[in-house]
Amino acid sequence: MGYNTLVYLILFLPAVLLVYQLVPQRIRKYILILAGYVYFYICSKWLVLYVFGTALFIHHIGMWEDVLKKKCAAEAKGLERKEQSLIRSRYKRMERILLIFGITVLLGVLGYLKYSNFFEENLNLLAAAMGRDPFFVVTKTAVPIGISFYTLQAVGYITDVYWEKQSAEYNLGKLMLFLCFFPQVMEGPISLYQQTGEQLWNCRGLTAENLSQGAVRIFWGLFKKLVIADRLNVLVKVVFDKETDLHGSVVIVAAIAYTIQLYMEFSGIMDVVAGSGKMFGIILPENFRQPFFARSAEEFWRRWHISLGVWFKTYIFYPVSISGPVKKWNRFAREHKLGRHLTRSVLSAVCLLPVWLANGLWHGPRWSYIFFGIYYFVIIMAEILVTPLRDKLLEKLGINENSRGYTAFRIVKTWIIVVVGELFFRAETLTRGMQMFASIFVSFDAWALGGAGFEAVELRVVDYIAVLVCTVVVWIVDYLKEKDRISTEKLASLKTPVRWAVYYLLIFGVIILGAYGAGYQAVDLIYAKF
Amino acid sequence: MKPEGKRRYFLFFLILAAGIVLLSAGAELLARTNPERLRTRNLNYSLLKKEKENSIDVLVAGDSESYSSVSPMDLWEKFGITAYDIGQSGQQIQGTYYMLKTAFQTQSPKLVLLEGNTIFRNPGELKYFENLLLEELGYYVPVFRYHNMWETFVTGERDWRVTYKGFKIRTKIDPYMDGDYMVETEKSKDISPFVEKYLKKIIRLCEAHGAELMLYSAPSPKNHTFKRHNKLMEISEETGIPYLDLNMRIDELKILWDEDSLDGGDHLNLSGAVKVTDWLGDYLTDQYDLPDHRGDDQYADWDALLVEYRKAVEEETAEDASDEDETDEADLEA
Repeated sequence: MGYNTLVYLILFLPAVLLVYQLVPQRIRKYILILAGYVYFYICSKWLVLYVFGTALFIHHIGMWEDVLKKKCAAEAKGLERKEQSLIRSRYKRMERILLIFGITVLLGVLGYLKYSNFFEENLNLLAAAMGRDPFFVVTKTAVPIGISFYTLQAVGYITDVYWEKQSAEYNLGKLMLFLCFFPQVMEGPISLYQQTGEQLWNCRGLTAENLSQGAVRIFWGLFKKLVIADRLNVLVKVVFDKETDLHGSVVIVAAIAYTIQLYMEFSGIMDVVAGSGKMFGIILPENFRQPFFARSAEEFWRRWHISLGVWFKTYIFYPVSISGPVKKWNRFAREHKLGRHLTRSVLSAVCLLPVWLANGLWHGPRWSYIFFGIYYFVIIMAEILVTPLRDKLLEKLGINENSRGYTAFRIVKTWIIVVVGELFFRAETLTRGMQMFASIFVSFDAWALGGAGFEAVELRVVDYIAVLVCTVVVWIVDYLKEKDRISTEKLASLKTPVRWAVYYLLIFGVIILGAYGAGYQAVDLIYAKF
Repeated sequence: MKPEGKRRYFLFFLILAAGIVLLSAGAELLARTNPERLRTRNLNYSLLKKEKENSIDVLVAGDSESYSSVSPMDLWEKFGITAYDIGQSGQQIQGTYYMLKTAFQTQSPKLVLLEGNTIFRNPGELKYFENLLLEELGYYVPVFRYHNMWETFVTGERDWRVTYKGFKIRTKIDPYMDGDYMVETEKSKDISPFVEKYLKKIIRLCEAHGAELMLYSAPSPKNHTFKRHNKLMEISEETGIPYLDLNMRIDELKILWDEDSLDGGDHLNLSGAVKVTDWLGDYLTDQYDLPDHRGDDQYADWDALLVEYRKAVEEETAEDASDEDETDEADLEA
């Protein structure tokens, strides 16, 4: 049940809202838990036991960590400082073992369900290359929805308890709701326990303000998804599904179309998700902040799928950056006067490599995703490495770094980086991605755009116009948001006729312009498969 | 909430509802007056509504197997029966239900032929439910069905493919070569609970409108099996609705798989459809009390269409099946 489906929008969500409002306040949280599990069950049937098992598991690990912390404090009480530190380090070791155990189990389940086929297939290929019989019989495993999302939340929670950023939660219900709040289940955002744990449990009553702001956000999301993304899907699918040689110009257009499609779809669905949360008075973490205004690849990733970036930064980048070897390198660099740039570059490389490998792998068991991760690693490293050189060059040429022209240049450069990245991301295989990329340089034929390249695309000129106009509308809204001139709150403060006109435009825009019904195929959510 | 606030919300939704009603009325009107602006699936609804009231005696419902197997113009010419193919490519059972409901708005047919292939579609309960909501919305609030008509108005293009009471002339031949496909078995194919429910609703709908219902299976080696035959027989026994499996009468029908198949045993082409129609005409006149309207002035337009149909068939056959011979997007999924 995607968040763009009628079943969700006109049945599930309203039904939950209604029941939520009708029952007494103390029961509401259980309604939300139930709704989450029903949602999960509808999508993944009995695999819902995985998410329940995960809640049970982290509940237990959290309490266990807490017991160790309390025991440690009790034993250390009244002792000399030296003995205290001995006891502390003994308990810390136990806690660390426990944490590693917890993470191993959580990631183990994720790895087994999502990646075992990939490793089996690749080891079989290796066996074939060595002229041996295959190692494994590859069987397809059923994967519960949203496992990549809720597993990260679960790992985050037990790590936070270990770091004492978060006290252990003894209430199983709270953790169940934290992992399985229905608008978040399928595509995130990946939230930290501090962000949503308590908030979800408070269950305030519905208010007209929250309902209307939530609804506006939902319609805005549907506009992006139904009007733009689902139209572009027609073109993207035809070109990317082709197995024959493509002209470079066609590849470029398709890659741009896919980049726009992915943004409209993912950010659109995130609007529906955030809007659904808002209706219950829940503020979910934002996943997008006008990513196409980013001036570098690194900044792009601080604006695109933010919750994933924050997770990697918190639970991979940060721990690696304070790990023993990195500290040693810092000391070594200082002692040998290697200079700030080199020290920082090596440090970044060491900390960023696991982040980007994880980013690629997180999207799924495909070489093209791993390549996608490495691609960004290389680009971001290049951005870091050339910074001093670039600064010098700018100084020599007398270019102001913050000037409009230079900023525009950087933004366009980032677009190119992103579009190329998405080309590899979408291509059926890594080899196909390489072929398509190469075609830009070997057989770029602008005339192909008019003919052979798009003949199978069942879009009409008006479809392209609709996409173009609506993309411009989204771009303008994004621009206003970037300049902080527009927000849901500001919209709410407009005079009634103006505000209503905006609402009606949005609602009728979706109904009339949406690419649904005859002539269009319903498009399943892209991120739901990650 | 303050009373003033309540009034405001009421007004907001009132304007919204008025807008939707207005747009729906407009869309319905435009669809009726400009059917050539509609895309294939929507076209069926609008053309059906244009038919003269209470002029059709037989409705042929189902997915593409239905409209590929019965040619109303041949039924008219040889038996004087007025039939209409209301099937759509890839149609699911809830779609059939709403198509029938649409038909009953203006027609009071004596007989509804339901082709069985649609019963075995199973996209999953969730997809069924989603599609049901879309059908319902489209049925009650036409703006949801005809919303993208504006596109063809902007471009001026026309998407009208000529149909003869829902039937399309398709002469291409792609033979079926894999031999006998009705291998006898005791087993029967399961159908989804959703389909069962909607089948019952269709039965009740036909009863309520005084139309007899008959199940049939068009010859289709690609889709039909003995398991399906058994299931449809079971349904027939349970409900008392007659079932006719044409796959068991291939010889009687004189179907030759190297000339009557459109696409390798999935659908029948024109020649196959004509054979089925000829046989079915005899069968229907024998089993049901269907009036012969030939010679009736009220039905003069059927004769006029028949002349066009004959001409088109001649042209198509003379042209020799070309590559352009169309196969609908969703025909292929049928």
